[in-house]
Amino acid sequence: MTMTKEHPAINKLEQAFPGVVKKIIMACGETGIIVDKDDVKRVCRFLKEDKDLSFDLLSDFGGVDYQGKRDKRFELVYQLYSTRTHQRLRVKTEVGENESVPTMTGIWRAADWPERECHEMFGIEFEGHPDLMRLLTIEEFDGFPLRKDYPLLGKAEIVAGHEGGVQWRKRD
Amino acid sequence: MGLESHLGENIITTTLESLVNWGRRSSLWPATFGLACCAIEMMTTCMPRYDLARFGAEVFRASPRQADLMIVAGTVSNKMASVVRRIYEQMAEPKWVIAMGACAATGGIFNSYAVLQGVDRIIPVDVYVPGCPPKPEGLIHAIIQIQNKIKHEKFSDRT
Repeated sequence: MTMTKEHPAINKLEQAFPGVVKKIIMACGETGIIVDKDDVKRVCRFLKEDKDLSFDLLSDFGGVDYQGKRDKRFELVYQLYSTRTHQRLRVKTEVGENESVPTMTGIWRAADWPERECHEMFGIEFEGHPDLMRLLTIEEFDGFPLRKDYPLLGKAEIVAGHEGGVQWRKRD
Repeated sequence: MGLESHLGENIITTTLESLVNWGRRSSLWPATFGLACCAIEMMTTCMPRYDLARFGAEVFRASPRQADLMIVAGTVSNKMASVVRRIYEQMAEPKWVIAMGACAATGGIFNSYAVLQGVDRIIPVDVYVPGCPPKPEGLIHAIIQIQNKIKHEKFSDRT
């Protein structure tokens, strides 16, 4: 485990793109950086393609809703891992409501489904994503369930439909 | 004793209703239909320790068209609801349904947008088995309850 200031990625990033790292976060001995949403794509591409860093694995990706707590409502979190150097790095970026972010599918194929899920759960647009089709909920689903203002039981419920099907009925 | 005295000792008379109900309850064929952790208990029920074959309901069928008992074993997510309903509709009459476990009966701990709050919202349920998950004894008891129910069914109940 690398301490914050010793993490090789941060020095390299500072050399390549001065001022791109807005904040360094240490948590439980793990290093995270915050970058602007407009910088996140080139930062990620650099982290992957740099020969010394080679963060070749996007081990996880997800979103967080900070409604009412931050100016920009959402935060996206990229968990990176290098299978060559065995280093880990967390890249975060803040996204406002109705803002879009570039897709990472061109850098890591593994970003495809997590971005679909993130789009489905938070309503965040990923520019350039090949297919942002719903992943977990059904097609008729209304709203973005992981947003903090979404009602727990959903906006509609399933009841028995005619001729052997089911149908959605809006909750009162 | 009327008819029996003429037929001798090799023939038993009964009503058609009792005969049919005897046949139906003695070989219930459940549909293989596990949705969550309750399915593990359902499998255990068929294993040697509990041996569902003792009650004539061990022939789990992969096709709903060959089954007459649906054991809804586990959480029914909203995405799964239409599939559950379709499988139920594909089963030939007569058919019975067991809602196994808290999730199938009421949604259980999953009081959320993603989970159907009880499978009885989309299909009729004959027996509910409480538990999370129910022990195999619970499922066996439910099957015996279904058998008792079939025993007392009248043809006129199904039109």
